[in-house]
Amino acid sequence: MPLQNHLKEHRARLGLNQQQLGSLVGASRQTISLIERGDYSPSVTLALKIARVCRVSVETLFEYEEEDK
Amino acid sequence: MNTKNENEKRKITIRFFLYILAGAAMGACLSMAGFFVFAKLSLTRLLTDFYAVLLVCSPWIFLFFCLTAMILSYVFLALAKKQLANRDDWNEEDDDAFYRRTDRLLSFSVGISNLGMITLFMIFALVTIAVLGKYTNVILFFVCALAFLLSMIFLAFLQRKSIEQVRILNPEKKGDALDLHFKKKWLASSDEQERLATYAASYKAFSSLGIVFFVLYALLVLMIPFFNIGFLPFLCVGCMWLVPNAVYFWEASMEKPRQ
Repeated sequence: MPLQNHLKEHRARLGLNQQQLGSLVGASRQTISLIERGDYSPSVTLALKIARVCRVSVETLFEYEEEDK
Repeated sequence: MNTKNENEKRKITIRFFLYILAGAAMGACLSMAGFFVFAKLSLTRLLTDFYAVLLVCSPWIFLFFCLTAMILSYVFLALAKKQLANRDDWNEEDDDAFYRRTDRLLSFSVGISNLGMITLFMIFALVTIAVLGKYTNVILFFVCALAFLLSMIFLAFLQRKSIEQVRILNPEKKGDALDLHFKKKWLASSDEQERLATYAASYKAFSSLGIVFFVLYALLVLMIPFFNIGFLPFLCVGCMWLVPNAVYFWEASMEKPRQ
């Protein structure tokens, strides 16, 4: 999975649980959980919404790492 | 790069013609083998006899399927409800496994009731043919008709209960299983990841339909020499094959904004 994220740390910093964060960004708890586990790459819109709630830039939250070819 | 593409194209074309040839050869072999086997073992007669037995037994088969669908669907729902009832505090990080387990049980409950309904529709048609052909008596037919009605209502209400349980897991979801616009409302209340999962499942279902219709069509063609099946089965399969493809073509060709 080339997309790494630090969502869990930022969510913990804000004291939100997955359900609360999900409600704030219009996603389900399950989707937040999948993003945190790296099993789902969010759309640009959702990534921006999450970043806005976490008050950080998208690049701080998500990192793209090139896969070895 | 161009030579590589050309070679790849040539390979695909050759493979395509080989598939066509292999399919035609297989069809011819199957037809010949079919003729031989059917003639040697009087399979036409055997299958006709089997069909007659099936018609005689159809009310009992129907009642068996009614009970099985209702019991299985209820058991999965009850298991999911028990799991949810035993869970009073949510600790989401540790609860993913629990969530998936409960969600799967509820999906099984909804899935079995759905498949059960379709199967019951099919077998009830057999019961109707049986009563019209005097393979079974009218009282048994009315018992089946009543069972059909009751099981449909029971399964529909079980679906509603299952959906209500799903909404405990996903409070943001909207829609009542008995509502005619349920799918629309459910999808509208789903987020992007859930929609993607729904679309992926739908595409898989659509792709598998192509194979199913092809196999059905081939089987029907092979049956022509042995049974008086008429044109109706071909018309049904053809229509069912055409509709999803036409819808797919129409939807794919429309220029819609995709959110």
